Amino acid sequence: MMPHVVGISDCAVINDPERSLITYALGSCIAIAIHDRLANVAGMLHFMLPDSAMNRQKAENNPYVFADTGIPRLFQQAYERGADKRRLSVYLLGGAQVVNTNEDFNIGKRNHLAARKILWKAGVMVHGETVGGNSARTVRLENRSGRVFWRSPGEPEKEMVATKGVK
Amino acid sequence: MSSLHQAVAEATDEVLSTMFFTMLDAPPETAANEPCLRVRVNFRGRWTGTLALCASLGASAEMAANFLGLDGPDSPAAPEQEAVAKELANMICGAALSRLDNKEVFELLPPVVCELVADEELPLDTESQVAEQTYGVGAGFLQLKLRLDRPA
Amino acid sequence: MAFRVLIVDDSPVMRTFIRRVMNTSGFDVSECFQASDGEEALELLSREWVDVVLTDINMPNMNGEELVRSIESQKLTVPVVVISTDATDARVERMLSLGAKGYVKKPFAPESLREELDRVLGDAHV
Repeated sequence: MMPHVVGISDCAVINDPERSLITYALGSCIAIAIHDRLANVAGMLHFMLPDSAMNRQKAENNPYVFADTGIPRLFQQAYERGADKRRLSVYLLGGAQVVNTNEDFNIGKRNHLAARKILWKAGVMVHGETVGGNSARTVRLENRSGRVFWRSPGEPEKEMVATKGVK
Repeated sequence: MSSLHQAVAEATDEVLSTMFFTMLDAPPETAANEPCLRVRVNFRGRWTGTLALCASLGASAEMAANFLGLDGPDSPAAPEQEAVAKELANMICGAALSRLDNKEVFELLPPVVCELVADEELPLDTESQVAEQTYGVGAGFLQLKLRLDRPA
Repeated sequence: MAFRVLIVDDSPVMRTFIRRVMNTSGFDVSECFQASDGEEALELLSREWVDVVLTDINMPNMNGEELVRSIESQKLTVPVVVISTDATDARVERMLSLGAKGYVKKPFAPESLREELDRVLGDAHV
């Protein structure tokens, strides 16, 4: 079955154990992949920017642009589909510093820290992460197994390992 | 950048990122005039010396809220902010010293909050080394000064 | 299996941080005791059973090194994980040789402490 594509500044939560979630072109953005094996709930958020105070209007139009408005919605949708906070596996991927952009702002690292701060304040443990570097990533989450895979252009696919992500 | 400066910079970045989820920015222009929370950590071992930390009140509140996982409009109480600042200084000092020499044991003495007025500087001897860094943290700043009184 | 944990650190906010990590770790923590130095820790261990001790090193009254020595000499059989800013080779070797079973360097990401506890406690918590 074709995976459900999560676009840039997008979010999806699914119950179908036969489906996967996939997101492409993860540069400085962060993808949060969450999974509850018992409830067969898989969710993924692909956000671009750390803080909706940067642009309130944009956040109203699309809360998934920002970490602080997107992450709570991801988890809320997962809970509504039967996920339990204590059962959730949570992975962070992305936050690269893509070479061709013209910024010293290091938005990738800001996005990563924003996600970690929000999760810490919400009492959610991160089980693994693979962040930083200079390459864009594609991320795939299988609902049946809860396994998270990622790849960069020209490289083979790798699997996320809890706590120690493969960079 | 000297190895001492690099050690302080890398240690600060590591601590602020890992347990405070905070990005270090360029220092604001008004840093020199703001009231701040000051902490001092003395150490001994292969070197003796001091790490002095000065955080603007806004930066102190933000870092304390991040560290403690507090999510809301109210700032942590002053005693909590002081305790967090002491732990921040403790960790930056330890991380910096570990970078300078990973082989020998050092001892950090308990961090203390200093008076808000500037402390008198101890006279430097000819072999002292000092590294000073100032960063923007949120809308405020964080200043660090590491002083080694005995050469490697 | 429900875990009983003892956190030993003279910094109350660090004890708060560690307690928060334990409560979000996925471990079933039934009790989270706290002590501000080695003396308090030993006093508590004389009257309470715990499954793991998490201890700093630099503390007043009795430091972490003396605490580990005392736990070993009293044959308390509780595993000790050291959490300290000092992660020099000499210190880590010393603490492990005294009987500590794990070591986490400050600063640490929450999942790093969880991983070290997983390793030290094995499958006991499953």
